[in-house]
Amino acid sequence: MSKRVLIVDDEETLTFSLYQSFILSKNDYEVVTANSGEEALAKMKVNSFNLVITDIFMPGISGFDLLNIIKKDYPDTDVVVMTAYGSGQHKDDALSKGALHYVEKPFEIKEFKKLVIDILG
Amino acid sequence: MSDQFEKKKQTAMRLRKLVDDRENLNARIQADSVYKEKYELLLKRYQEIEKVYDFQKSIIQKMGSGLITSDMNGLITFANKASLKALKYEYDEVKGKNIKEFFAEKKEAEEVVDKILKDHITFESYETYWISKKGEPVPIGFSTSYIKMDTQENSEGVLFLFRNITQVNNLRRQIERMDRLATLGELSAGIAHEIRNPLAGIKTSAQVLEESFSPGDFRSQLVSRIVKEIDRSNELLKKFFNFAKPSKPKQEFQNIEMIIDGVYLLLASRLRKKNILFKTDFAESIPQVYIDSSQIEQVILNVFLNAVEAITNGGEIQVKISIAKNVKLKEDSAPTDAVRIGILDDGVGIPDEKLEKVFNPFFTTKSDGVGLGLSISSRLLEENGGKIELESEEGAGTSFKIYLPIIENTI
Repeated sequence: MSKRVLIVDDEETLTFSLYQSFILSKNDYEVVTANSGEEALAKMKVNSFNLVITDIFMPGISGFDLLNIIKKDYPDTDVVVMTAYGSGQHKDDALSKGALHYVEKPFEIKEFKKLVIDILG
Repeated sequence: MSDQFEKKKQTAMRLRKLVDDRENLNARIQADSVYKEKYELLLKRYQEIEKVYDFQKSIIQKMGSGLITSDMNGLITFANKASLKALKYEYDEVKGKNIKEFFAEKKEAEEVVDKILKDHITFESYETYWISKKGEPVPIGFSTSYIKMDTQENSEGVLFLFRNITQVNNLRRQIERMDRLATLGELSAGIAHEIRNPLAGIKTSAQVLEESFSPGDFRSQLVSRIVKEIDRSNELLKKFFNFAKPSKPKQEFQNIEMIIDGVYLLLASRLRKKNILFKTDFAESIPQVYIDSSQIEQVILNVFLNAVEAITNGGEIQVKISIAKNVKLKEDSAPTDAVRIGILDDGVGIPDEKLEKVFNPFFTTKSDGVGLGLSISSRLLEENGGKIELESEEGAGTSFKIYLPIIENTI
């Protein structure tokens, strides 16, 4: 069974391009995208995910909220957070709340995909 | 017989006289003791009054505030030592002078003093500039009240109580600067986030597109240029963000001398190229300071770079480290001992009209400067509990003083 990745960001260009990138690279991953925390939770209720990569600052349910919910309700799902805020404080907060990694946007697509492969194998 | 009688009579008279003398003496002694008592009482009262007078005189002369009294024509009748010191006058030079003459603005002097003398309006913490004997403007804040000048009923005068508020004004400016920087920090964080988010989308899209072309394809090269430009914009944003909103300091006890030596090494070749002599004067036993070394390194580097820029054709930069006693580092905190780092250059100096603005964000005199160096330095020092002061004279040079609080190292 292929590993499932959920990418959450209110920046649609980013989720779309990341989705396309995974399609192009023909990884054995099933990539799903969501453009809000609410949409992500709805999709998580239907399908289980091995990895959720979420933006921190989104209107409504934020990435930190999502991280807290996942750690409580889906403890087997790994979480990576990403943000365009270049503050070390956010990184420390995310890691202390249980995020596996912290990615600063914009990033190198190759490094991003390598991180996913490293986590999912 | 009569002889005997006469003798007895004389003896009796002598005795009588002796008794009389004794009675007179007693009466005199009694009177003397009453006078003595009265005298002692008076003396005691006089001494008490003298004591009170000396006490009041000492308070007036030793108080930190300036105290000046004038008659109802504005002519000065008394000035205490603090007022003479603040205005750099001798007592004889101010006695009889009109209080209006101290005001820097003649129009203001007329208006304010007339209100006090003619309209009987009292002032509380009125801030203005007075002029010292040397013609220098002295920022002061004064309060007024009406006093009786002597025992005559109608003899009224005015008491001016004032303080030199240079330090207060400096602290106020520092706070305003910090407020502006805090706003700038919030604003820049928001802007950086809003721009970097779409940049992330553009970059990822471009990189996905790039992957779909063969490496030699000119379209791949075009997309690669897009990515490069995005990276350049992102670097600029990152720099701006870090400048405007520094991260929380990670403070540890550090040797300030080592930090200065490190910054010197960074700039050594530049100093040589510009023929700048670097001199140090570090006091012995300077305590370690509790700072974020990378942030303070950035501050020292910024100030050094300013000094290097200010020297056009050879010169000297002096760095002096000493201990300053009782320095007020924040308006709401008690004075504390601090390590003072003086950085003095003999460069072009800063004109008075620009001196006020050098700590403002985006203020720069350099054609290629962003104008954030000193404002961020000031902000970083505040984050580390310190402060920065600046003095400059156009054509003579600039002196920066950086203060870092001395905190007891209990580790």
